[in-house]
Order: sequence, then C-alpha cells, then structure tokens
Amino acid sequence: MGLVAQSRKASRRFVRVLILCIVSILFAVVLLNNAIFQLIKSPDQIRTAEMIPGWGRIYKPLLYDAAQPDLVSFGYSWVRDLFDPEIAEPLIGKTFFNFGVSGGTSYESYRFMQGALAYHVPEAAFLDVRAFYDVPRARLTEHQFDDSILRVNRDGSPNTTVALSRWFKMSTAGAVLGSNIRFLRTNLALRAGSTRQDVLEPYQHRDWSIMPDKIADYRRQLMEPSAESFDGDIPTFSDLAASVKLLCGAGVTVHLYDGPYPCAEPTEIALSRFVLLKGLQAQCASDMTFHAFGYPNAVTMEGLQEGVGESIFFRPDGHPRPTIGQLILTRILGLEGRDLAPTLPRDFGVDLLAIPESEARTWIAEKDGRCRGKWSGQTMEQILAELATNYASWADIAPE
Amino acid sequence: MVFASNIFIVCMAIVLPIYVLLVGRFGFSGRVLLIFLSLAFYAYWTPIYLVILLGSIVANFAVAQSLLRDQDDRSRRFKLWFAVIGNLGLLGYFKYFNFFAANIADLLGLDFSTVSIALPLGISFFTFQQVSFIADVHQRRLQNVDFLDYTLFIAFFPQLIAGPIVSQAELLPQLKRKKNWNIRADQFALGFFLFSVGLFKKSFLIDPYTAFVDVVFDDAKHGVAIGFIDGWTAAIGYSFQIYFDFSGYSDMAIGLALLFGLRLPINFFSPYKAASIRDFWRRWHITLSRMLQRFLYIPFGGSRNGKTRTVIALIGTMTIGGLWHGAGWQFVIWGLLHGIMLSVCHLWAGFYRPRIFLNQLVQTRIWYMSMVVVTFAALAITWVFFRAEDVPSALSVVQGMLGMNGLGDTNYLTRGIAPAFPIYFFIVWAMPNSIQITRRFPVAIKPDTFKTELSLSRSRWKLQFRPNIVWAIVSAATFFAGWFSLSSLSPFIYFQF
Repeated sequence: MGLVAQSRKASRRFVRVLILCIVSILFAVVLLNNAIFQLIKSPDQIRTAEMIPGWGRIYKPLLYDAAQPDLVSFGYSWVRDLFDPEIAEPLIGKTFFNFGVSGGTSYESYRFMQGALAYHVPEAAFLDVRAFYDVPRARLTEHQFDDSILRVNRDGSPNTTVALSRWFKMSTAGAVLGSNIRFLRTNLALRAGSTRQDVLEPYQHRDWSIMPDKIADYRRQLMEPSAESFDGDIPTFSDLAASVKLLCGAGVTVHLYDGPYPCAEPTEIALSRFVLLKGLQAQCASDMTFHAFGYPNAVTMEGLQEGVGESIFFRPDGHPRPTIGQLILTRILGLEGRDLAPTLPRDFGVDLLAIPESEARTWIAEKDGRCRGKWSGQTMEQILAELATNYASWADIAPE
Repeated sequence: MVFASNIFIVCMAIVLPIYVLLVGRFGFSGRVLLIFLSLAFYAYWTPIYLVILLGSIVANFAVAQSLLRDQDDRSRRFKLWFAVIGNLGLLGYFKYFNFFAANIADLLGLDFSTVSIALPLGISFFTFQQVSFIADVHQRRLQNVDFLDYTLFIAFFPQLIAGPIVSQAELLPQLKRKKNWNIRADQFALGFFLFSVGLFKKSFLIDPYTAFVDVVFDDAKHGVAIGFIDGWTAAIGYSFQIYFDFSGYSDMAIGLALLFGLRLPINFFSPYKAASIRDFWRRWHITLSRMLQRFLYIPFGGSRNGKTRTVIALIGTMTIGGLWHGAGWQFVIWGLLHGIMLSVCHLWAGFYRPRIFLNQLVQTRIWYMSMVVVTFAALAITWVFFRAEDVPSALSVVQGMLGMNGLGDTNYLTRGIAPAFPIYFFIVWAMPNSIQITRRFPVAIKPDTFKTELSLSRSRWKLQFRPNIVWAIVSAATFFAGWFSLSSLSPFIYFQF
C-alpha cells in the first residue's frame, strides 16, 4: 500500500499543515475559553452567566464554587429563567445562585447538589417539585452532562480528578466555546448600555395576542364544569425525596415550590406529592416549606385579560420570566412590605406544610377544581379584576 | 476506552509520538508495541476480562496449530467442532445464559433469578473472528501462522471491540508482509481524516440528539402511550443514531488502523441508499453479513436449492443473526422481520425479472427513489425492535407509529431531534460516503461489488480527498467539531453486542 512519490511529498506537507492547524486551533480555543472564564468568575459576571443558556452543565458547578452563595435554586430551565440573582440578591439581601440548567433532570439536580454540598453548604435551597419527577422524560434527558466535573462521585466518594476534569471540560467543550462567545456578546451589549431585559433570553416576552385559540381553550376549561378523570400512574417521587433528604441531611433549609404551570397535573398527583413532603418534613432536621403556585391565579391567568398583548410573566416558549421569580421569592421568604418587594396577588400560593394537613388537602382540591370550572374563594372575575389593578406595577418589577 | 472520548484522544496524542520514537528511532518492534497497546486498550474497561481475551486467543491458536499439523480428516473435524463449541460456549455463557435459562424456566414453570454476568466487551466480535479463523485453518486456507501475528490479528485495538469482523485472509498477509512499522505521512493523513469523519458523525451529528430518542423508548417501557409523532420521531431518530454511531465507529476504526499502516475491510457503504432490504444488507455491517452468509445462510441451503429452501435459509440466518446482536426476544423478532423482508425481496425478484414491463419499471429512477424511501421506512420500523428494551415496549412504539394513540405532541416536530432529520436525510441520501470521498486511495479493503459506485462517484462528486492544504484544514476542522462536541461518555451502540 502506498501513494505515489509525489503524493507522499504532498502528504508530508498535509501532515505539517494539519499539525499546525491542530496546535493553533487548540491553543486559541483553550486560551479563549480560559480567558473568558476568568472574566465570568467575577461576582458581577456570574449573575449574568447564570442566566445564559447553553453551558450550565459545565460552568454552573464551577461558578457555584466561586460564588459560595447563601441561597441556591436547582432544577431545569424553568428554574434558570425564574430566578435572576440580579433581582433576588437585593430583594433578599443575601447572595443567590441559580443552578437551573436547560432540560435539567432530577438526576442531574441531585448530582449538582451532591457536588455543591461537598464544597459549600448554603443556608437554603429552592426546588421546583416538578423538576424532580421520576418519570422517564424527566430522568433521561441528560444533555451534555458529565459527572466528572463534580466534586463527588455518584456513590458520594470524593472525585480526586475533579480539578483536571473541570479544566479540560471548561477549556475544550464545544458548548463552552459557543456559549463563551454568546457571553462575550451579552457582556459587550450590557457594557454598551443595554438592559438585562434587552439582552437576556429569560426576559423575552410571550405575545398573548397571537394565541387566541389557546387562551379560548384555557378560558373554557376554567369556566365549564367537568369531571376529573385520571387513570394513570402516580409517580413515586423517589427522586424528589432523595434530593430533599440530601439537603435536610446537610442542614440546608429546603424551600419547595410548585411552579406556575396550571392545570398540568391531576389532583391525585398533587395530593400524593403533598403527603410525601409532609412525611419528609417530619424527618427533616432543617426547616422545610412547600408553596404551591401551579393553579389558576392572577399570574397564570394573565393571558385571559381583555386585550392583553406582551406578557410580563411568561417567555414565548411558556417559561416563567424572572418577574414571577420575584413574586415567588417574596411569598416564600415572607418579604412583603420590604423595599424592592412587589405587591403580591391576594391569592398566590401558600405554604402547605405550615397549615393543618386537612386544610392543605382542601386547599389543593379547591385550587385544582378551578381547572374543571369549580371556583371557591375568589371568583375568576375577582382575580381578573385584581390583575387589572396591579398589572402595571408588576410590569415594572424586573430590573432595567 | 471509547474512541470518541477525551481520554482516548489524549492517550493517542501521547502514544503516537512515543510509538514513532520507539519504532523509528530505537528500532522497537511495531508489532509488539501494537499488541501491548491493544491489550492495554482492552484492559482499560475491566482488566480481568483481559484474561478471557488472552485465554481465548491462546486456546484458539493452540487448536489452529494442532489443526495445521494434523492430517487426519476425522480428527481435524473433531478439533474444528471442539473449537467452535468452545468459542460459542464462551459466548453463550456470557451473553445468553440468563436469556435461555429464564425462558426454559418460564416454560417449565420454575423460578429463576437472573445471574449477574457482566458481558466482556467485544466478545461477539472476537469470537466470530476466531471461529472464522479456525474454519479457514480447517479448510486449509492458510499454511502457518505466527503467534504474535495471530494475537495482533484478534486483539488489534481498532477492530477489537466492535469490528469490522476481519477475516484472516485480510489481515494476516498484511502483518506478514509488513516490514516498516513506522507511521507514514500519507497513511497518517488519510487515517486522521477518516478518524475525524467518524468522530464528527458520532459526537457532532448524532450524540447531542439521542436523548430525544431514548425518552420515547423509555416512555414505552414505562407504559406511556406513544403518539404518532413521537413514534416516528423515535424510529427515524434511532435509524440515524445507529447509522451515524456505528458507521462513525467503523470510520474511526479504519482510520486508526490506517495510522499504523494496516487496512481493515469496509463495514458500511451508504446503507440508506439501498433500494431493497437485500441491497441494504449488502451495504450494512458488511463484515457481519458475509460471516452470516458463510456460516449460516450457505449451510442452511443458500439460494441454489429452490425457493422454499432459500426462504428458510434467509429467515433462519437472520433470526440467528438477530440473536447474535442481543439476548432478547426483541432481537429475535428484529432478525425474523429482516428474514421475512429478505424472502419477500427474493421472491419479488423472481417474479419481476421475467416480466419485461416490470423489469423496465424497476430500472427507472422514480422506482429506485420510491424504493429507497420504502426501504428506509421498513428499516425504521424494524429498528424499533432492535432499540426497544423488550417486545411490549417495541409494540407500544409501533402502535404509536400506526396512529393508534393519536397524533401526540406536535411540539416535538420543532424541538429535539426532528428538526435535524432533513440534514440527516441529505447526508445519507445525497452525500458520498467516506470511502467514496477517499476513493483515490487504498484506505480500506473494498469489496468488488462497490466498484461501479466508486467509479461513478468520480464524475458525480467533486468532494474528493486530496493530501493538500485545504483538506488538511478540513480534517482539522472536522476533528475539532467532533472533539469539542464530546459530551458525557456515550458508548458506541455496538459495544454491547
């Protein structure tokens, strides 16, 4: 086997150019990634980097260690888009780290917690309970997840090669390269005077005016009485339980919440989850709260307002915007009346673990009943009227 | 060690210069170094299985030596069967013990708890390769063999884990002839390019999207009703996944072998351009197909003993071929379906050939294109059985594909893997394959059957590899696109077989 002599000469030239290309590209990429990471690691930049999708799985464990926050949230992209540390930190007066990643699964969140707790134990953690379903779609989507960059292995033993793995991953992963360039663009735009609302994806607005059919269906669902029919399996919530136990065991206050996704699950599931959490609360050495926001309320009924256009609560893909995060943090941490705290809707979540169990069960059943046209407490009209009154003030709560 | 992994790439970057130095400067034996590298590569997973590999190599070599010396036909036949049963017994124990024991216990109404047996990597491949070698020795197709050559022939790391299944006639003469074991620039150029193409196929083209396929099959396993869109997305997605994954692996294997100046047989030749299942098997996992043909199809009667015998041979061969891929009824059904489809192709060929109109119709471009689409759809359905965890899960996905659970979530048409389908179809239907791109060079052992298509590609495609600056940059860019896309370790699908 062999090429002709002329071709051999060409091949030698080829190999020289190839090696030159490889060395130059590798050097440039590693240099660029490392340089940008040094920039991102500064506290001001971390807050921006947390809100940029793309590299969460690689960068967030590293950034968490750099930030050593007081508070942390775990979960999927809905969590990432919900809590902007730029809003949360001045509101709460503590440092906040958002560990939410695109398509984050319960497994990934659990592993992130394991890794994070091994380095720095935060005061409290926020978990969206729906990010911890042990159903296949939640469990399997491990986009670009790499256990090797976490401080502990799956069995809890220390990962002795974490520093090398992190450097390697941070220096060469394609997701990092692309996202670093995106970060640079965002950073430059912010320096040039753009606002976070202008440049960060979580601040994009849904346009309700282009989805009349969806709104009509939702309105019909809330207005026309119907019977609930559920014959599926109830998840065991074992992934959620494992994560809660992990945090409780480390003495972290656990703030659980059910995000603003109304009428998406049967009452049986909500009740089963509540029972599980009630049981876990009894075993948890630290404090534990569970607020439910996933029912028809002023936030989730935004689209039902007459003539509503650009949403202040939701992104085009239905993800919540940081405006909802601000309301949720205010409710969970009881910040009403503080500077920067927004006015909360009258009916917006309650700590189900702080009220008697029978009352909590009734509350869940009543709120879920709204999805089948059964209203008690506030009526639909009252909620919409309150929404109309406070809407303008909520529109201003996100930072410029 | 997975080819498409940071650890492998870094190891190769360290090992190659050392190899060049040791062989070129210090006169070390390239053969011995390659054996050492190959065994280290294998031991990286589970060192204990190195004992099985080495034991199997030594035992088969001993039988081969005995066969070479033996002149008595009866005794030779006994040794042949001894070796075949020994090899298949080893494979059977590791791969099929639980499957058969569970099914027999089920039939007899007995309790059976699965025994935990970890499958040594590549056992199906190195077993087949050794059985084929012993058969060649028995048929006196070779006169002698050196132990080091034999060890390298079986353990050569590019082909050890997932093929191509190399025959002794392809590799042993190369090893025997090889005088200069140093790495040559021309071979390095081509080998690196092919390795990069394979890496690109796997880690850039398909791996980032496979989770969207896994999700549907996992749903099916957990009893979730699969909608029409999800069903087809999963089936088509998996068709591309297994193609890019396995053909990517084969490109990498051929490229790696070429780095060391050795040529492996090609294993893929644009299989989704096939206009029939028969044509598909000519192009898909080519080295397995020829093994099945030699050791199953022809002994079963082949195509020269009447239609009925041919159909039985086809169905029997493919069903066993299905079981070779995995110990599960879903693999048996996958093989059976392929056997049936091959039989239909065979009978159809016998029907249309004597009829002038049909014969002309079959040769039209529109017929060819329609049949390519039909063949792909048929393959996508059968891949469901190949991918599913069990038969009920596969049937659940097929139900979804038949629309029995409604349309499903239309969101998945614009998210996940589905938006990539047009690109994938363009690649598999309209692009030349890696062998066509490197057509001018002897990068691999190519069957004569593809001669026409290889010469056609000269006029049809400008995309021809040349050892020039442009292609050096293309190679580097392809390599980095693949390397930087490496995410979590995603083992090649065929490693499990």
